[in-house]
Amino acid sequence: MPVSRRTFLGGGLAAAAVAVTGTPLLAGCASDKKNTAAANAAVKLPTYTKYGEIKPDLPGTDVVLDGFLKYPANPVKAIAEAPGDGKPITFMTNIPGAIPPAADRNQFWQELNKRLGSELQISMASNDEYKDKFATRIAGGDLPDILNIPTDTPQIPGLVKSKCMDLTEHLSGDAISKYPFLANIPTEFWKGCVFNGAIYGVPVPRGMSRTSGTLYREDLLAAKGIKDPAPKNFQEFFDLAKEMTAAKQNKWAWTRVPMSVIRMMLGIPNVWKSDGGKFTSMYEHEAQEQALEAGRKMVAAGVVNPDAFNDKSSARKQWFNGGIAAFDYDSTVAWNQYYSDNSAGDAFAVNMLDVPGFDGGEGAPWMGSALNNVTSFNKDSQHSAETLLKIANWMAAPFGTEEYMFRKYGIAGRHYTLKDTDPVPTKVGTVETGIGLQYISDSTLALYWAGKPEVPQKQHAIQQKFEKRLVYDASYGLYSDTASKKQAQLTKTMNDLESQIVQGKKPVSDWKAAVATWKSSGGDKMRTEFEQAFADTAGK
Amino acid sequence: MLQRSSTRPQQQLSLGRRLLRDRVLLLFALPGIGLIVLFHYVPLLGNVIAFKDYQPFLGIGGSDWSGWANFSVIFNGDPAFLRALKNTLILTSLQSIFVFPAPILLALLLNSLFSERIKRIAQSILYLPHFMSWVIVVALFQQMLGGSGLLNNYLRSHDLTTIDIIGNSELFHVLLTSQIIWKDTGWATILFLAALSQIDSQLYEAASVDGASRMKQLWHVTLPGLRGIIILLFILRLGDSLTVGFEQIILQQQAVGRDVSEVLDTYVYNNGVLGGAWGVAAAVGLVKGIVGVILVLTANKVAHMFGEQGVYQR
Repeated sequence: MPVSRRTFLGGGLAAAAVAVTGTPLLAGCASDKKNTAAANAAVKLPTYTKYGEIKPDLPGTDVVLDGFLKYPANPVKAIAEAPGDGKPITFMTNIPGAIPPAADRNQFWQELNKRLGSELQISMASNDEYKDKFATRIAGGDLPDILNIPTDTPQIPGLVKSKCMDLTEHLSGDAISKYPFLANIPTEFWKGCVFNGAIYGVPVPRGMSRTSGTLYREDLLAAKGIKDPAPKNFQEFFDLAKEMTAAKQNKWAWTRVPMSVIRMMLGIPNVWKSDGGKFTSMYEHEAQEQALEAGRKMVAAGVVNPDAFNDKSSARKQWFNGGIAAFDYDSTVAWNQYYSDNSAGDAFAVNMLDVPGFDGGEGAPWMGSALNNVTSFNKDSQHSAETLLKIANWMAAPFGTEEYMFRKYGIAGRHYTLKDTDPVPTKVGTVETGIGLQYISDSTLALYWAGKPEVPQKQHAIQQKFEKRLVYDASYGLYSDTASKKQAQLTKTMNDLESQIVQGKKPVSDWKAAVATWKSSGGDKMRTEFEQAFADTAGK
Repeated sequence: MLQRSSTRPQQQLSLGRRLLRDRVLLLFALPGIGLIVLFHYVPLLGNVIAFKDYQPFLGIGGSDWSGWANFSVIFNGDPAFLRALKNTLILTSLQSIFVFPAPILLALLLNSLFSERIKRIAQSILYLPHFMSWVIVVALFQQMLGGSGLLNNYLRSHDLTTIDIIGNSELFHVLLTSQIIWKDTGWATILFLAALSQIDSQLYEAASVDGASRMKQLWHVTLPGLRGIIILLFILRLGDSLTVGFEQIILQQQAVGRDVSEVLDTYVYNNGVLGGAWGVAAAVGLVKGIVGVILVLTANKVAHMFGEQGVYQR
């Protein structure tokens, strides 16, 4: 069945959308709205009004993102007045890059505060540590005005009901027209912000930009005489990795075992698969053991950095950027981030491999999560919902506007230099702008890299290749109470076993027993709840 | 533990008079007492979440009571809990056998040095690792002994077989123990060196006159002089025996898997903070604390039976 972005998102969004149906969590709460499929489906979502001022060079589709070869000349200043109310606004978020200088030493941050008309006080943690920080601050009741809620936070419906503003009256239907750039986020993305029969947040939309694949260092492969690599099956994929490994020179092909890529080659589901409303998990697929054998083969052949199992994502990125590894599994967002963090000079070039079938033919790439996070507003904030929504609206000004240019690139001369119409970031700009603004709200992403039109061209080309074969997670947007409580733990257990198996410390045959335990510990219950939620929301 | 040197019987004063007499000292103690109450006793009230279906966003008052349900992982022998308990006991045994005596041996070694200058330099160097955070220590070990670390890179470049130390589940408990010894042994010698300095030098002279060798002096003078502090510290160690390190383990857990690396503290963290099962985590933490108290009380009792003073007097 061909799936468009509309049907994908419409069928239910994002892990964030842990909301659409399920058990009422807070029977004793003041509000009588319940987190049921019926209540959530009844919410009138914001009316989508596309901001049509800017025409892309590489037009996208319902799935593929729009691409731009140049930043539009004379970007329009789309918002006339400062959105803030003059009082400081607090925000808690993660940052993917290096820790930026504090506000008093950061000219980007200072200029941002001026433009917002309110001082934005940001409490940051690295990507690796943010979930811990978020959980402990929730437990401590120490919440900022604006909250970046990770999509896999346990029991989001209860959390937002108790701590966050109900934004329905401000955003539902045409009410959103007061915030034109929030209205520019496609309606379907908002489903991920509906809980307890109300809209509790603003989406940070991702979808295709989070679709991941085999990123490779084009420059390193070219140095070995490999141009336009296109392995046709797993064996060629494996051989390519062997060719790029030179352990004696401390160089390995991969930053980690590319288990997801192998699974895509084997047609294993993207988390959950629905067959006429019957759900099966990726763990149960018959090709899992074959995937694990293939992963083991890669580790045994020494094509993966030997410390791949010790280190966190920050080390992985350093290996790829530093040329210690030539391949990494990540998304378009990371692709851009690699250019942003590039320390290898002008020759640095990244591209992404297509996914072949394991034994030939075409593989089945997985669609990325629809939302990065949900941004909600603290119920006890001193600021009005209108002020906070105006801030979110400002943060969602799309590619091509002057606001977007400032938000992503900073101040001309200090944070970027103009090359024709392209803002090329300076080193200072890269460091000072990385304060996590993209998680308050964001426009749907555009494919673009300042001064390097070949980057969006490559990204657009691979997205077009993936488009027709994308596999969607059938559980997107369907709430399962068991998943909300146990998914994180159960996934961790399965990942742990996978890691031990591919390292050769446990036999592949252990997988079956682990799947049986996974089923009895909550997997089967999740399935039943997802199937029920699917039935309750079918067609909505 | 400390005894008054004076044998003069204490004058019996009323409580009010004693408070009045010691008012300045008591005033000095007040901030300390306040801090202990605030940061050690008030948080104890939070243990109530072990008996609740605690939801952080509802708070303690808003969460429902759940009776003993959270303790079921302990009483019903949840495999994940039992695995954490087993690893904790293995590590605590290793630490009691290898980590605890290490500073005593090092203190004796340092004490045997004749040159005060060398002794001071050695001490300063040995203290240093204590001031490094676990993140630094783990990174250091990884840079040295990791799969792509200094040692293995050297071996690889010389066509020698690499040694899998970091990330090897069979060596994990030994690795943890070694890291603790490397980091904290120097620092832990402070108390023993202080105790050694209190031993009357006339005892050594007398033993020497009687013809005691250095080994005999060690056995009959030095070790008895250290006995009190060794027993005291061992009892305190028992109180913490189920706490075998958190940060150090969580930083290295990913590579070796939870089968060998999950301990009670990481179980509490993984279930509570990350998994959202705060009640279960609190129940496990509470039981851990109670076991610690029982161990301390028992060990203290045993110490008393053998004529030692233990942590507090009879």
